[in-house]
Amino acid sequence: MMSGHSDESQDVPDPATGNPAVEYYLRLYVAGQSPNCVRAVDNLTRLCEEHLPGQYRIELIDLVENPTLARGDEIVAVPTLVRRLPPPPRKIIGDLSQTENVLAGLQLPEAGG
Amino acid sequence: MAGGASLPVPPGVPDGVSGNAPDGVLLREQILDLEKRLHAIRAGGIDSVVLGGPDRESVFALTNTSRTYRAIAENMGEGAATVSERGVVLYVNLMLAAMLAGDRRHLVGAPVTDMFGAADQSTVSGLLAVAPGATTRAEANLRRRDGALVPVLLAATCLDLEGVLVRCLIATDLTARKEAEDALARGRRELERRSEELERSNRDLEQFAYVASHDLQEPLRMVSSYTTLLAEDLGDSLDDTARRHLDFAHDGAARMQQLVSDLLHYARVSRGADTGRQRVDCDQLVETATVDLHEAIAAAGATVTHDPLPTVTGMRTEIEQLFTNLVGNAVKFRGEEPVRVHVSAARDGPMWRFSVADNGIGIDPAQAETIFDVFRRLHKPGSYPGTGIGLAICKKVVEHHGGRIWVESQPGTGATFRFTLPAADNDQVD
Repeated sequence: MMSGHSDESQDVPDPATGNPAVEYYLRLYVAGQSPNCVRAVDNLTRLCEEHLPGQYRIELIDLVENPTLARGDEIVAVPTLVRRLPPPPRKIIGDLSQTENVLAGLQLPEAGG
Repeated sequence: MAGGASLPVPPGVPDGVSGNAPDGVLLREQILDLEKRLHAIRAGGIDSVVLGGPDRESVFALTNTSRTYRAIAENMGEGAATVSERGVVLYVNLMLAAMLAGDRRHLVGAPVTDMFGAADQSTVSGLLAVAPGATTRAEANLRRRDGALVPVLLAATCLDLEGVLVRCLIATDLTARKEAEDALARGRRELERRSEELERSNRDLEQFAYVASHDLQEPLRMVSSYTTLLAEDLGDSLDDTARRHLDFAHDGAARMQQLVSDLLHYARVSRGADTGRQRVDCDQLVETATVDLHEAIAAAGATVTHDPLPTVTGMRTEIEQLFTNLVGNAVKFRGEEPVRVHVSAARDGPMWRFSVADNGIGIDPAQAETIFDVFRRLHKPGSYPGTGIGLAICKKVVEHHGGRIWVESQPGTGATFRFTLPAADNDQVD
């Protein structure tokens, strides 16, 4: 029922998973539970809750489980955040602790809404 | 931590433009150098990189040095997950994904609370508030995608990863245990229900027997009295046939009175429960029984002997009845030989095991169980007197005291009745 991992070109949320279509589709590449990766997860979650409530979906990809997934987005370091939607794709490397840099990198408005 | 959102710069790369070479050439060399390093990393020729920080050097492993632990976590028989401080699932092992019947791709990155039903949210929140170094445990239900609940035992620990706290959650499937417990509880309830039913029906029966036998006594006394009066009134005017019929009626009433009286006696055993428990000296009781049975013993030319007998705990009147009935039986069912009855006792755990042995007509082993039933007679009325309730009373008395009674015998070789009674508390074990 779900699309496999190999189907990396699929940016539109799969209707079979029940995920509603969202404006911001963010993919966070991590490698296991290293400190910067864990921090990146929580920083991104907080940032999205504050600035993109209800408009985002985060996909967490652990490259330890499947390193070949790094190829699709040409990941060379983790953690890396990739904005899949809206186009064009944009990448930010690091633990996402500097909110202004992340917002600028993603070209998001400074305040929520 | 003020980690910048930028790729760390390898050592050896100058901040700006310097040296004698033209700027563009130097820059290109530096870029080429960087590309070579990047290529080496991507080609897998490097295990770790060493980076200089503001305070100290750090080593970053590029190959996964914790692969063995990962493999263990992946393949273990319990569900495992790691959760970030904000409650985001970072990792789910194969077992937990299977327990949740879910795709790991959707479980990872989602709030951990999505794994649990609404009723367990506060339990899980409390569990995850565990401090570093501690472990908390609680039972909860995993909620699968199809809505089914899976009972689990959760154990949460907190790891401090260089200032970042990560919670590890271990989930043990309790489905099989819960099912076994439920089956056991169902069985126990059913057993209790049946036991209550039996007790109630037993109480009802005893009540009925008591009321019936009690209420039957008065009308029977009337029948008996008036047949006697009738015989006196009519006197000589009765012919032989009429007199014989009247005698039958009178005898029948008398026998029925005896039956009713015995039944009442039987019903009275254990009525009013255990209020009268006391220390009972069996030596003395057997002496009393022998005196009570004096006439029957003398008539049978019987000899009743006994060893020194112990003290038991119980209802004196009931135990006296027990000995009287058993010794009386032994005297009654005599064979050709002069009757000899011997009473003895041996210790058997918390009980005393008594034996009443005779050299009478004996009992067919096939009847060994049924002789203790109410109104069970092995012989025709007339061959031996009695209503057949004596042994039923004995059984009820013994069972009322938590003991058991049985008979060992062969026809023609006498019978030995054995029964157990609880020893008095401070009795010395022989």
